[in-house]
Amino acid sequence: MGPAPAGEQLCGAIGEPEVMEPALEGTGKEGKKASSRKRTLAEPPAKGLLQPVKLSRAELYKEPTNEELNHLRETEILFHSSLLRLQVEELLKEVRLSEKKKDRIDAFLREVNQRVVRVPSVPETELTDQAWLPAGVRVPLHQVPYAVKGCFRFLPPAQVTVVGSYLLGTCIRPDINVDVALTMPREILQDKDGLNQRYFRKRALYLAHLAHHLAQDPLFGSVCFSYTNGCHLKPSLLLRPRGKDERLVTVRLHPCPPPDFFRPCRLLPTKNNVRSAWYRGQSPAGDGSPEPPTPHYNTWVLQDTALESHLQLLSTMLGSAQGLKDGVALLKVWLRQRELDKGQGGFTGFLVSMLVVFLVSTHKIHTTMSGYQVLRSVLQFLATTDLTVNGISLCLSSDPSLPALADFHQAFSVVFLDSSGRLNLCADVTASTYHQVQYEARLSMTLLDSRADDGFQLLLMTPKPMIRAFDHVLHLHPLSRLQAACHRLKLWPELQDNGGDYVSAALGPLTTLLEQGLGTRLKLLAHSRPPVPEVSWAGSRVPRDTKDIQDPPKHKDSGSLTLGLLLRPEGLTSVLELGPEADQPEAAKFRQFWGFRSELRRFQDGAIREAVVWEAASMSQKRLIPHQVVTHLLALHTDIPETCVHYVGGPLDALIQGLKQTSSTGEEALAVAVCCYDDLSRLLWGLEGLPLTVSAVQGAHPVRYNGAGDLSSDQPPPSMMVCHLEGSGQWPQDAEAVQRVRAAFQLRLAELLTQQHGLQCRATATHTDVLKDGFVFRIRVAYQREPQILKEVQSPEGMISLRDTPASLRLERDTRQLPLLTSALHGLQQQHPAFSGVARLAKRWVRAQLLGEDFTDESLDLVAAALFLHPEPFTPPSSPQVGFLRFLYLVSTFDWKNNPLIVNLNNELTVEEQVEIRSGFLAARTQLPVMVIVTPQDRKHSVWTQDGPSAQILQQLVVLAAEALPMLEKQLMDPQGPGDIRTVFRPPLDIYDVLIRLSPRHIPRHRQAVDSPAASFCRGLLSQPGPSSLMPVLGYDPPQLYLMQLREAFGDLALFFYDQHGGEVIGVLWKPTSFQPQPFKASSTKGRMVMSRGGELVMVPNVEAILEDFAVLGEGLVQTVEARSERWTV
Amino acid sequence: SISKKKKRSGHPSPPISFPAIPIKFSEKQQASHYLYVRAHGVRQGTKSTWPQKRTLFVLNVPPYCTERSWLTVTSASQVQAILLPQPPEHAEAPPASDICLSLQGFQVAYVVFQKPSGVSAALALKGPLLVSTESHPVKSGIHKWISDYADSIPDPEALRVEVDTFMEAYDQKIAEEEAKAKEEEGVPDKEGWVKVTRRGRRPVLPRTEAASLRVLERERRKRARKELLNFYAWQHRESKMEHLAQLRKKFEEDKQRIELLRAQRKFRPY
Repeated sequence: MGPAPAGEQLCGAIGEPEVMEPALEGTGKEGKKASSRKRTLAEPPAKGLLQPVKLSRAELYKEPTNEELNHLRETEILFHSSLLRLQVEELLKEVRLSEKKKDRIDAFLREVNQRVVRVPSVPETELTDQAWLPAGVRVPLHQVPYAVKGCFRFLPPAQVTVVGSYLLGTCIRPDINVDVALTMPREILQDKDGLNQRYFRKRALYLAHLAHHLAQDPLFGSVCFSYTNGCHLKPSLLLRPRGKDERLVTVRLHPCPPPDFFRPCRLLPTKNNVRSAWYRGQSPAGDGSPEPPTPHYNTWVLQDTALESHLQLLSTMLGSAQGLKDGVALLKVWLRQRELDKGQGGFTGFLVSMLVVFLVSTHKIHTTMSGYQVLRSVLQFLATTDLTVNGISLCLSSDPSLPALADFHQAFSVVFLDSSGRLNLCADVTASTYHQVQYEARLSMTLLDSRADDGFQLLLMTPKPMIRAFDHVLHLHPLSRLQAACHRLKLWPELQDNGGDYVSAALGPLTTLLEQGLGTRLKLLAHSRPPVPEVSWAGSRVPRDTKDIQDPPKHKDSGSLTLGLLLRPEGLTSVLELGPEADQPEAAKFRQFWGFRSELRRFQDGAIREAVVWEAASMSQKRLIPHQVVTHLLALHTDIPETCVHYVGGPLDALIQGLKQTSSTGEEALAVAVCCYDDLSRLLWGLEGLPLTVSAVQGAHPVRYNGAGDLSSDQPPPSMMVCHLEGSGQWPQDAEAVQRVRAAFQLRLAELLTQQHGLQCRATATHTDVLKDGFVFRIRVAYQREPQILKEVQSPEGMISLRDTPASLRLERDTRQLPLLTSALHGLQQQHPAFSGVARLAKRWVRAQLLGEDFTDESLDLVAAALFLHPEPFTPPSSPQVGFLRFLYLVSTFDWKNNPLIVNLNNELTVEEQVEIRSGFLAARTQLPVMVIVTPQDRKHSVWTQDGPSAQILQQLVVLAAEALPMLEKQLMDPQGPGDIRTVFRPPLDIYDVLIRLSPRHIPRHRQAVDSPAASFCRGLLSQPGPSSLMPVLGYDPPQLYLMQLREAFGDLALFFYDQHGGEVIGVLWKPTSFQPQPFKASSTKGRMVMSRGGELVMVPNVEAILEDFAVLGEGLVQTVEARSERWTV
Repeated sequence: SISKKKKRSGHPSPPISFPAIPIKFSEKQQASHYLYVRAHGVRQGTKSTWPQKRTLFVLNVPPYCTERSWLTVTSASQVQAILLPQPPEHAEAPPASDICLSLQGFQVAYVVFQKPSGVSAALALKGPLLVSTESHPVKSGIHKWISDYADSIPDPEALRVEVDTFMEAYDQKIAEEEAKAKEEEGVPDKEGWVKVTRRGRRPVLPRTEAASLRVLERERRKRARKELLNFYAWQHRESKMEHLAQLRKKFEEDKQRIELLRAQRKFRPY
């Protein structure tokens, strides 16, 4: 159950600078911190903390009632668990319309009905003569070509019927829409109105006149046009009530033909109803070839004739079965969270309802099933059925005059016929959209089958916006380019069918082209569905300014087309597209597809093949090969130039790139370091002359998987290694003596490495530093019984028991847990190459917010690892960008108070163990750190978050993440380009009381700063590259030393914040509690002075002197000390 | 440069028992800290490490003061020893930094003078005292860290000598203990008890918590193996009831969770 209280975050976000003050009070030194933590956590459950349930024995063991037993049985049969049942019920309560609102909507509908039938008629005119329309009314349709035969007159509708989900009770909040069908009187229509858009023209004129009259009415708050399912030939009129109910409901008016007006056989998918002679002003090629069929056009006409029959079908099937209705509501929520139902050609709630009807009629769903079971069955069906290949039909009759399914497959990509057997319900759904639905259904089924505790949350409550779901996205902008693409792709029949909508016409061929080109790099390609526009109709009764009235939107107005790529990490980094052998017939096809990029190449096995080779040297460039593929193919086949393709895949890479190698995000440097580490381990194993031989060497430093950010600095920190020796009974059993023997080993190790391998070494009592190929390794000899020796406590009776001590915990952490974690994360990195990038971006961001000191590297790595190990409802990220966005989402929504973050490394924890961990967590909550991260190796203590962060700092991070996420997503989704991507990485400085600015000369990692400095200082660089024989300066980090001194001296008066990756400024916050005047006490004089306050002598901080101390302690490092607030003047 | 602050109203006046002596790092600073000093005295009868009457008790010593700087601050000749109580030593300093910084915040100091008159002279000091002067500069900031770093580079030889001496003493101590244990083995003490150790001819279980827990666990398992489950009707009934109780507990927990989520408005899919 992840997310944290939304309300809490919200108020935090709004009043942020003020929040910081009280939030930070009480954070003092270690002891104080702990107590404040306990205090905040031990608050009553009213504050949102789960408590272990306490039920009395009598309550637990009382005789069960029949009702209770029934309820339990039902839960077991119809739902996974009681929790799920409760969750589903809660959700349905939330999305369902209340009776009170229904009454208000009904009243509004009655009003609408009265007004619609009273709209005055208009005498008959030619269709092309639209002079009768009042000034300022625009026909909500592009009339291209304008000339068309036929006459039009307005008559009030013959019948006004409510259709759609409102009557069924399956409409869900928000966005309550009520669909109303207006049956146009037969007198308006003429024979052959089905031809050449005449019906649609009349429909549009009908609405225009209606809109003009309704807009005068004070009942309506807004009157505007929209388009049914985005089909721009079929406008509909949206009416909203005036006043406080404006957001309550939208009534959509759909004009439709009188029953049996169109002959269904004229509207089969193989028929043509838009003549080329009319549409293109020329007859089809003179050779007498037949007119191209217009399946989509036909479907749109058919849809209008079937509104009522669909409603009848739905209400007979779903009418009395509450479970089915619940199921439809759940499915709608599911689609909505995945953004599948909206826009042109979306997989709408109507489709899903029809699907439920289909499954009921094929007995896959029974009417007694619960909503949850319906959801499951439908997902199961979607996951396993490919409607792009095997269409389905609701039609039961075996009338031979009906068209075959194959005819529909010819004309449409997805086939699902209604009960008439003539109308394809999925006509507008593209193959990509359906595949996306299928993919989501498959993911959801796996999630449901895994019986995860928080399945409900992940399935129905987690939004999956495109930018967060797909590894890379690309925007095509401006859209008008697609018009040229249509001509290039020779899509004239499709344009004729779509009434000139070149976006829809080009979408299918475009996605097919890219899918083919990306091949093995691609798991899934999805496209955004162009949003359904609303054309405003100002809705005021006074004669309006014509500016208020908009023309119907052009196709290019739908902004941009966004494609999302879900990448397959295995194939992603290959630089080669291998084609067929040169003499094969397919070679020509391959050449044609890849154009000039295809070359003949001779391979090692002697084969001569067509092949395409992409240029990419580093890992980060390889990740962006899809960019090259996409731009190349689009330019080659569709004439869309590179400037119109805005590829968003790696703008964040800049933040983890070294300054020297701007093209690499560090994976290469990492490989070199790992190689060097392996060499050194081999040397250690083979070392002769140690009293005990080396039995194992373990890396214990993040360098193994993601230290690259550090490697690129001038002064890389040493990489830790732990060296285990063979077992021996000779070790002393006394802590002090063990330390000395270890020191002797460290000395000997240094000696031998120098003697036998000529390595530069430096030994201390605790470690030996070894310089090898430019990297410094810090080897620690470990004695495995040492933690135990440190823990031993002898009771007065002589019983020896083991108790954790700070020293033993530290030793265990460094020599046991750290190597284990390192190797587990290294394994993860091998499995998911994007891990290091995500982890480094995450760390970079947290540090950049100046909050880094409280979060250990390991804890942030583990949070990043959770994104890969528990990606549901997503799949593991394949690019740093999407991983980072999900990191921000996780941080901003995870409820740390009530949940441990379980990171199941190597999948070692079973479901039962996880349940046990959760209950153990609840029971021990108050003793645990604020942020609890559980791994298989560390099930109880959360060692990496033991020393922080405090509740306040964590809350601050949550607030910052919640602000950064939408901002960054908006930037990345902007088709004009993301702008300055570093914005969210710049910390807010205005909350600090004092800013200490540092001199860049003494900042060792200055070049890692978020904004790369124009000039930076490096020293100690060798004149020639290559390994040096001098031991480099290690760990000399003036800002850190300075911070240590500051915290030691002023830790109880202020908090200090700093970005250790090259920050130039230290933020200081005074602690308000320490600024309370205190009575004179010998123990509390630190940095304070005595003042007389109202005749009493009290102590207050000597701020002026302290500010000068800041400068004195950091002499040489500190440039300026800016006191920015007067808050300390007590 | 430090942005200037408006001068505080009201001169700091010390409590009578603790005279305040202003102290600054050097001439350059404008504001000063205040040392609160008093002659060190203890109640009658309690023992003190510091000599009575000759010791000055100083509060609020700024972080940059070292013992040496005290000599410059007070008239050097009279001071015999300065004792800054050391912070409790860490068992093994966390190797967060390579430099073993002499970390210090504001401290308490005991200054022992040669003569009692030194104390009264110090109490009369008007200040402001300067820690770093031209003749006796005190290092701070970058200069201090650089010299600290240089000092922190270990001398392997010294380390070796330290290890050898310690181990020699340790070995000797162990040898003595063993010899003593051998001597006592099997010999009853005054009350006739014989001490049984691991080293004897028949070694016994070590007296550790872990070992005793292991024994208990083995016993428990043995008993569990013999027990019959769901054999009697009452056992059956009870296990059913137990299952029901579990379900009830789970249900109660779930309800609490739902309540929490509802309070957090977690059921809004929009």
